Amino acid sequence: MASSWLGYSVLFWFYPFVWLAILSVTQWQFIGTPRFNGLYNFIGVMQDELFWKSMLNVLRFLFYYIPIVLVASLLFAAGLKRIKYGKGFIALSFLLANVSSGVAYSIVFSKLFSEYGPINEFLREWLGFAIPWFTNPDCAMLSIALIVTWKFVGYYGLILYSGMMAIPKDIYSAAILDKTGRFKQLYAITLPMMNAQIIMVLVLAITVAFGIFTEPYLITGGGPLNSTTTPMVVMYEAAFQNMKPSWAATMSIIVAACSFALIWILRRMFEKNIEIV
Amino acid sequence: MKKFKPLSLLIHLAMLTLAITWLYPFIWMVVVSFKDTAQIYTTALFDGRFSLDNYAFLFDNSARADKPFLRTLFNSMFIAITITASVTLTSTLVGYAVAKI
Repeated sequence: MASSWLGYSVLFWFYPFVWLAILSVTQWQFIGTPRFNGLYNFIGVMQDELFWKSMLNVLRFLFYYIPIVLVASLLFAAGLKRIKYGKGFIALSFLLANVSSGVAYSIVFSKLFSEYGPINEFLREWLGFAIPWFTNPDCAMLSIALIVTWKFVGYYGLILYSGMMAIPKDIYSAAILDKTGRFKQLYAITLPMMNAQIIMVLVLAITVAFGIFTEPYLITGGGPLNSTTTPMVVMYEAAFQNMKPSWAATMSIIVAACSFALIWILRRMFEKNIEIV
Repeated sequence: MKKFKPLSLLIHLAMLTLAITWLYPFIWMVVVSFKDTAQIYTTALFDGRFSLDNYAFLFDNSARADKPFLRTLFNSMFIAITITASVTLTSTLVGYAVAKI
């Protein structure tokens, strides 16, 4: 049993991992044996403007995504806590977005948010203006962030909901005895007590941000003016369109290092050990 | 049954509205699947002519090599069943091992 597990790990985990490391220091074009070329790939990727533009796009994505998704899922968790009837239906309709296929909902959203799609027709009729969701370079990344928020609010919301339910009631009773206002209860009790869950949501959000591929690739194709190109799109194009898999391997290592560093900084700055005594 | 307080009623209404909003892309997708392509943008969501033409198109001659819809459906079913079976099996074994550590 143990040997079959080891064999499985070697085949599906260790072998691709080593192959990735080998590719990042060699030159290879899908056929033949890789030729060693040292740091050439690394230097080339470092000078690749499109790659760094895409890394900047990830930061722009996080700039929109983190506040929107955090506030939305906190509101969702707080709302769900007060729901007495139809809790299952509400939680499920938010979670349906999370389990649906990326390709399917990307196509649906590209139709819904297109220039003459139903959303813009509605806005034109009632408010007298339309929003260039995917055609304006400043707006496109926000639209992608909204779609990813749509997908993940139910999931993050349930994590926060479980944290919210785990806060002991007596803390609030004590706070009310001390005449603590609702607002102060929120930022002095609820948010600090949910530190572990909030950090987990932020870590998941950062991992998602470095890995988004389907939405920009299918909806905007990375445009307009490369404003929604993500590292995954750049890597895919480098490997399978420009026939440079070794460049893609180098990029993937840099992306992994960056996302790891960002998560490390986040946890260093905001993670606290909460003990309920 | 206890009576609803106004705030509780408001929260129920707001959450229900949001849930429907979240489902809107799916509702739109299902309704539009019964319409012609030309009518998607020109008619209101529940207006226009509804027909099963799209479904008929999808399943007609689906054994042909250039339109292998049934085959892709079968592939998905196959992957879903094998993954569920193997993950359930291996996870129970791993769970047992972890619990014994």
